[in-house]
Amino acid sequence: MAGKINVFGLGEKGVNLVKSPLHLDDGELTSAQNAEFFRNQGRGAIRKRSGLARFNLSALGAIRRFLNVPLPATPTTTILASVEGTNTETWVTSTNGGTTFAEATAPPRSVLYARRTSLNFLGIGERCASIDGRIYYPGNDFIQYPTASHQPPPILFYDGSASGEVCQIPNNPTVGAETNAKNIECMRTLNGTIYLTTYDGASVTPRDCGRVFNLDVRAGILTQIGPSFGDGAGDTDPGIGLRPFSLGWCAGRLWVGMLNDSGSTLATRVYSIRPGIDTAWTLEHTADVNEVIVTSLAEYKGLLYAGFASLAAVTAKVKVRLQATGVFTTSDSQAKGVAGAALYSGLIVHGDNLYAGYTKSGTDARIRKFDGAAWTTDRDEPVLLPSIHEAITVGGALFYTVNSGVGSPGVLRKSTGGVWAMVADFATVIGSANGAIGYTIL
Amino acid sequence: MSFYLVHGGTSLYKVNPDGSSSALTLPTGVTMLSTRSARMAVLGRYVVLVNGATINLAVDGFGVVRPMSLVPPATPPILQVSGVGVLNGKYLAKYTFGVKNEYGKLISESAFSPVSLESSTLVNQNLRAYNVQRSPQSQVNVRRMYRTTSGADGEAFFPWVDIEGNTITEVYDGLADAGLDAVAARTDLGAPPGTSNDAYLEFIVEWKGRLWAKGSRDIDNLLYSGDGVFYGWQVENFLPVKPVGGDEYGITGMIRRRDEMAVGRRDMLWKIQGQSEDDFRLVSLVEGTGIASHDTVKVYRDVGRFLAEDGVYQWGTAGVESLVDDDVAPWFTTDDFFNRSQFRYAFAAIDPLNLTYDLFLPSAGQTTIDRWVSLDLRTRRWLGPHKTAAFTPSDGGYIRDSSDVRLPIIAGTDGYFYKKTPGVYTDLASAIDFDITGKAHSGDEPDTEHVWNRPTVYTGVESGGTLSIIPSVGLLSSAAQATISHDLTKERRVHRRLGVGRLAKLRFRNNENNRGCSILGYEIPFHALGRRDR
Repeated sequence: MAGKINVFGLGEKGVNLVKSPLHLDDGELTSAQNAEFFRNQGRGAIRKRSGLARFNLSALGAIRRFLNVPLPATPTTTILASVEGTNTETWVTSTNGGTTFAEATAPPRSVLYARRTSLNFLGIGERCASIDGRIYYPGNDFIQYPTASHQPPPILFYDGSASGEVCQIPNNPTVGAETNAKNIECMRTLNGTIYLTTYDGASVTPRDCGRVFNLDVRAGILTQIGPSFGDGAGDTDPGIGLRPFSLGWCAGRLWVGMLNDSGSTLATRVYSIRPGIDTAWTLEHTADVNEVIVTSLAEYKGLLYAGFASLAAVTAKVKVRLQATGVFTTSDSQAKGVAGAALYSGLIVHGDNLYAGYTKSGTDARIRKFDGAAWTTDRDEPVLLPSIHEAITVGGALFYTVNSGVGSPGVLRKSTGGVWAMVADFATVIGSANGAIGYTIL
Repeated sequence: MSFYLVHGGTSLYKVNPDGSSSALTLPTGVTMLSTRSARMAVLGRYVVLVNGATINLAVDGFGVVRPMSLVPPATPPILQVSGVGVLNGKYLAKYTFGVKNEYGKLISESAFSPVSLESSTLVNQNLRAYNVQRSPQSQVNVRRMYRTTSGADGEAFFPWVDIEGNTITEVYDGLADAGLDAVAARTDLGAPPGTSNDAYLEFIVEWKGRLWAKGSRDIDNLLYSGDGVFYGWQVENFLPVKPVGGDEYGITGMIRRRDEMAVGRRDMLWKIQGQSEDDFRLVSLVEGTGIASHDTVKVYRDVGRFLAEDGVYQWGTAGVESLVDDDVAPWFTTDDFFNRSQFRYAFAAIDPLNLTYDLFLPSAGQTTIDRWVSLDLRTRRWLGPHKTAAFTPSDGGYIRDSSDVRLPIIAGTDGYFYKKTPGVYTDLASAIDFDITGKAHSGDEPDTEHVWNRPTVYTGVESGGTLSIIPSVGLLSSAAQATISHDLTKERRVHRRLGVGRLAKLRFRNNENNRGCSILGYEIPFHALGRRDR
């Protein structure tokens, strides 16, 4: 008998060790080391397996296990700072951890310095809230009360690519449907929720000083917290010229600090409330005469700290609320430079310390640090640093927006390890300026 | 775009799709182990890691590493009346340690402290809780207080107030009962093994929004977490996998499919039924077949494949089936190919591009994993064993590269990942030893002497190189003949006459570095001579 063995599709039936080599099919093998099967022009063929090349750039420790994680690999952390010139305003951003900033064309600008109601005190106010990869802030594109055809202040969002309006501040019904709020004073993310304070504009009876809201970011819905501050029926009256300004969270309560920029010496106040539980504000502290603004509130090691702005007759202070008695007592105070208003601002916890900016008369300033036992000056360059505004901490670094010595806004950065540096000075960007305002992270 | 977490040496790394990496900072006092491999699972936006560190860990998308579960407070709070308020009656309290993220949301919570002694009777007063312990874990940044309503018997506690930070040890509060959260305290809090550096969790999977795990001490109990929480492991949430005490290994693996999950011992499989803690139970799936190594369990397209003591099986809609009985069973039932005593250290990977199940094993007499075999998921055919001279494999799987394309990779003990690179035929400058052997041809007359004439071999055209053809002619036990060299630059070559014998077999080999090689087929003309008596 004669014939021909024809074997094509070698390996397509794989290795078989159960049958004897005598009984294998043509496509079966007794061994197939480093082989792989592939389809070649409609018939199978066997070939050497693909090579293995290194993937990672540098050796790790002896790899034991790995897991592919279907989560974003490198979430973008963008730091935005809202800065202003005399008549312009823009955002500057940093995507390298705040080492450098550059002018950005998005998002739409936040409310201008000239529209802010704390002008007498450097236009301070924490006005950007960051949550879940978005920032929320007061927009500028509206006709402000009491200009004719005034409009409600808008709240905008920005997620790094898209921006838009979330909602508008509803008018205060005590006054009537035709009067809009004048401004959003403060927006912060506290205990997982965005809270904000408004200035409702009316300064004569009925005084509609302001309100506190929370913002449901998923639905874009504002809900008022507690009664309005004012002298209308049912309102909480903080006193003539006082309105809600700063916000903080401590011991399960929302804390609100008042602002008095009427020019009077009437003391400011601190109120608290449990959102969704309490129906009335609790007056927690009445400051001394000439202590006119609670500029900033922060919880540090379980206690509430409040920064104050003072008129010339008294020094500015940071006060701490004693838990046992509820009494506010002085924690830090500074007096430096010539007579004039002084203020603490930008209270923030970074690392294991509480930081606060201190500005005297808008001519010199310093950054103070509290380690739980004692306050020290962490940075003091009065010639180059006339005023300090707001603070955030991100990526292990601490940032303050400042008005730098050449009259332009800037950003101070303290890296992990404790070295301060001016990372952005926008004189060339903006020209003569009124000061940097606030910023946040995505 | 995803990333991947890597347990390498005594570090935990986050590796990006472009291959760059960074070592993650572990919680204070926590170290990765070089003696146990991490096992990981994804729940929500967190990766949980067990077995490979001194405690269980949870990693978020930013690479922040926290304890998966928190050590609970050991001491109860002490209650005292304080000041003037609105509370009346007697109260009980307890508290937890917690972690809040940068937005103030609670992302982890420990089990409860012991319950306090009952307070004295309040009469229009506030309630003070002191002796609130500070957590020894530095990540804890909140103590959450819970209390009963006035006069309650301690069955229902409600969230009361948060003590922010990890410093102060007391709180005063006059929140009325009506102001308490209407939802009672959750009941699924608890600390699993691995919360502290003592017992640990050996492996863990996510299924139906919960985590399921085996502990190192009670090896027969299948533990499960609360619904959607990686930190809540209520002490009563476990299923005993029978026979309890049946061997020294207990649970050996879990197979997580879309709607079903099986838990295995060495010689049996159980299936979980039920929807919640109220009705979870185990039913027998199969006896006689179990899981030899949890790291060999891989599910692809809702079919789970795993290594048992006697081979590889799959569990799908058709039940549990052997994938080796008809072809490569001797790999797993003899000691000729692999070291069966080391099967419990084997691991496997799915190659989603080539659609193979790759099983990594130590060769006969070895304890280090140095071989792998591949199952074609479409044809259910096996190839291998494969090997490489470039590194020692330690894990396998796939990642997504910077273009978000899946990339099959093999991890090595040298700290590198190796990607399968089509068109490249070298393993890091080491030759790939391609070596296949076909059947023993008989011309359908195995007892007849044949003249095996000149074979024609067809190969893919390469730029150079030589394919070695090693013929064997005669009986199955006959020695190989002199090697025939086949020029790989030619698609077809006719080679020398093979010789006279009952059977003819060809072995093909190429061990040249950077040389591809493909065999399209061959032909061997023959004619029969007749049958010899001997």
